[in-house]
Amino acid sequence: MLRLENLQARYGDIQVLWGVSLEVKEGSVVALLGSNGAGKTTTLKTAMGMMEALTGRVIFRDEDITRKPTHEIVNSGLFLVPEWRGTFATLSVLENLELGAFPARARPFKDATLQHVFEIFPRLHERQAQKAGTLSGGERQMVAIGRALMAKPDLLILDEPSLGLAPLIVENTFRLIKQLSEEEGLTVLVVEQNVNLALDIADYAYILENGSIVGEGNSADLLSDKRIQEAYLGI
Amino acid sequence: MEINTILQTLMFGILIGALYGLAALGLSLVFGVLKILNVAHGELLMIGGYTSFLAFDRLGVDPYASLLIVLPVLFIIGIAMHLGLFSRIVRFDEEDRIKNSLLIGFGLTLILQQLATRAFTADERSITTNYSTTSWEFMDLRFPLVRFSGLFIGIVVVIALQWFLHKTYWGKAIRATAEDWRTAALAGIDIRKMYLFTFALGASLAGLAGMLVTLQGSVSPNIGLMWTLKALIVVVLAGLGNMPGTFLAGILLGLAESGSALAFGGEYRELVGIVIFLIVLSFRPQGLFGDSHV
Repeated sequence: MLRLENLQARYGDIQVLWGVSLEVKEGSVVALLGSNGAGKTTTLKTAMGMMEALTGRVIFRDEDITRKPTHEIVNSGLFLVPEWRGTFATLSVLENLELGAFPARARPFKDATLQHVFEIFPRLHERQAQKAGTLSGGERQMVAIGRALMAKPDLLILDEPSLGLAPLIVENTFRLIKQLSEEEGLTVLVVEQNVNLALDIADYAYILENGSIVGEGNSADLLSDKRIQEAYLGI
Repeated sequence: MEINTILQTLMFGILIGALYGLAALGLSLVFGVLKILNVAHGELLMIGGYTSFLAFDRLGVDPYASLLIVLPVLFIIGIAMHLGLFSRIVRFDEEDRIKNSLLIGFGLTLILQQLATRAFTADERSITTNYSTTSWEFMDLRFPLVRFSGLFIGIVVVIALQWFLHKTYWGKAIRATAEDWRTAALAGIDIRKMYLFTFALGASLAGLAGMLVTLQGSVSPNIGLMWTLKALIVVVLAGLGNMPGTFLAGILLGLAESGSALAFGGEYRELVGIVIFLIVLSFRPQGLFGDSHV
């Protein structure tokens, strides 16, 4: 469904991506793993058209979206929940969710999807009139994912969903991702530093180091790989 | 001093303050959403004034009806100005946007003043209709019609803007863009379109204020700077992102000016605004009604 081909990108004079290639198949959950500064977020930014690719291509549903503006990429069904969550603090919970349905593809289904999101997150229904800036970290996470669902994405990308959250909330988030994938057939690309968590829900994973993919494989194989265990799992 | 004189002066302060507020709405909107400071905002107001003057003078169009011309004309000028100049700098980081917008704005100010002088001479132009001097008397106070229309129109505009920004999809998208354009883009919002529309809307609002300024007083090529300054003081006073607050801050500035005129005489009127500007900036930099995070 999504294919990155030999992506290279840089910030100013510093090149961060040195040819990243990966593939996310329809209906699968794929993890992109790597330590801080490996280039995970840059990879996502480049895929979403927020950073220019020096070389390489981003193919989504057989279409080259490499040079497309971000909003068009979103409207074609690719949605990123950024590392910084991306909730609008000055807008109410309801307004945040409604904005999720801003893309033309999602707008006709707004009311039905909103009901669905409220079923998944009853807490958001209670707090719908509240400004998102007054919510707890876990609730903001709910708004961020709820807003992503409002956009009716074909592929949901989550950048570090565990970042800064209490263990229980992280666990719930990952369970929800698994559930969305299994029950609703949502394709997911999850970017994580927490390798254990990510491999637990992912079918397939890539390992990014210094801007290059250095390893890939089925989650089960990676979990039993000695090299991976030493480098990332602290075993 | 007679109580009537005091009341009458303060009332005129409120009425001129409504114009300050109206002039500031567009500046605040553009600053809040695009993070650029358009110092040529006063020149847009001046162009709005001349447009309604021409419509009245050449075509005999009533100044209020001329808004049907002024608003679209300024909207189109806003689109051209944004596409030609400001859209190039909204790709920068926010700090660089402000610096570069100041350069562009000052350049525009000079050019537009010169063009207006060439086209209309430096003379003051005003619109005199058969209701220009109409006023009601009540308890020995005078309520001039055209001045009250500014307050009335201002209130209507603020309510309309508030409705647009809070109840419509585009309005919510504009507020989202103002808060965080990166996240807005990730939500599927075409931020370049939001920037263009917001700038054009800001220009239309300046044009509306320009019509009222010309109707209540006069327009000349060099009025822009004074209105940019007033609007800037109001924006600092109000803080960003609050339209009713901005309008109210305009009225407060008008009241403060007229109050000082009563207390210290008219010479210090202009100083009061600057002093308030400095006090608010020192003690409450987010403004009286602004969101503290902006």
